[in-house]
Amino acid sequence: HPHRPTLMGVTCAAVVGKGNNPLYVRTFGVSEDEALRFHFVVHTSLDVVEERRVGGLSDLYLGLLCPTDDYKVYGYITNTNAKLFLVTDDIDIKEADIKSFFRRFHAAFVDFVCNPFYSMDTAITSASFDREVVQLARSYQ
Amino acid sequence: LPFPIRMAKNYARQGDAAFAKVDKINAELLTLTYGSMVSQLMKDFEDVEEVNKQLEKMGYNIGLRLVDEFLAKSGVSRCEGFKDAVEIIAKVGLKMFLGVAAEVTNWNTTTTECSLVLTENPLNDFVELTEQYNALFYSNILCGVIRGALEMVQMRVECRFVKCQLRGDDVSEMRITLKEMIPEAYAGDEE
Repeated sequence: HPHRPTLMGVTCAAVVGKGNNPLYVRTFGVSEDEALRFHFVVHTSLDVVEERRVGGLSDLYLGLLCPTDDYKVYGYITNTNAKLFLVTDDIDIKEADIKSFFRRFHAAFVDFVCNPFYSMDTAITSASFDREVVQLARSYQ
Repeated sequence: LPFPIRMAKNYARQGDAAFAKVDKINAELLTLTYGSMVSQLMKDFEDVEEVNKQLEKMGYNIGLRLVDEFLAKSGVSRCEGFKDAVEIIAKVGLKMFLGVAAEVTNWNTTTTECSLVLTENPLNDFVELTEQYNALFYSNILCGVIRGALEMVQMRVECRFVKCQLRGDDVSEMRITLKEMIPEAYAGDEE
């Protein structure tokens, strides 16, 4: 495969609501057509999230959900059942980095949700949240 | 005339002392409560101008009542006119109740109008205003508080935001104008 330049290997960061509705899907370094593919990737990972949860998780970090041909999808669930996803094409990615990414992604999400004008469980269109996530992804480059 | 610097320094110290003495609550509780109130007002009134008015009115009612508490707890004695009053509000009042002091700047030549500049405002934390809220003065309650408080010490003022950090400005700035000194009502002639 020709190596596609991405940030850390962060190809996609996503937030999915407790009703399994996508709230935010951000792709990095891919075309618009390819970006749609990530919606699908995230959606299929939701099944795996359900499986992992049944086991009575104490940890928010769900680990590797599915390795597809080119990508690995990692999951994280918040205490209010919002799901965070990280899709990466970096084969050398360290688990410590993934966990720290999710901790900071979670923190950004928590701060964002405190905006009194944001209706819970709706699409996240905030420019400043987007900037935070981009900056977060960049910091792992 | 430049305001005596030593007096400004005293007020800052008094502000810090007053702030240290008062009971504290979690800042996020204040921020979230205020935010929830503004967002509810938007849902109820649907009109940004109306919400600005409501916030100012609420603030006015707070200001009327807050002044007695302020004068009792802050150790500030009677102020000597509009200029002094604004300095006290900026350095002692805002510090004591909001946790942040403001700068007083841009006096006009007759010292009847000036700006209160805030570089930080805890009410603004986490808030993001989208296009539809462009005309909203999110912290307008503060303008009302100042108007109500000054009315209780015989000054009728107008107070409005001219800059807001939530709108992309580098600072938040309120412009205060003294409209008139209100003569104290006399109890009655004593002969």
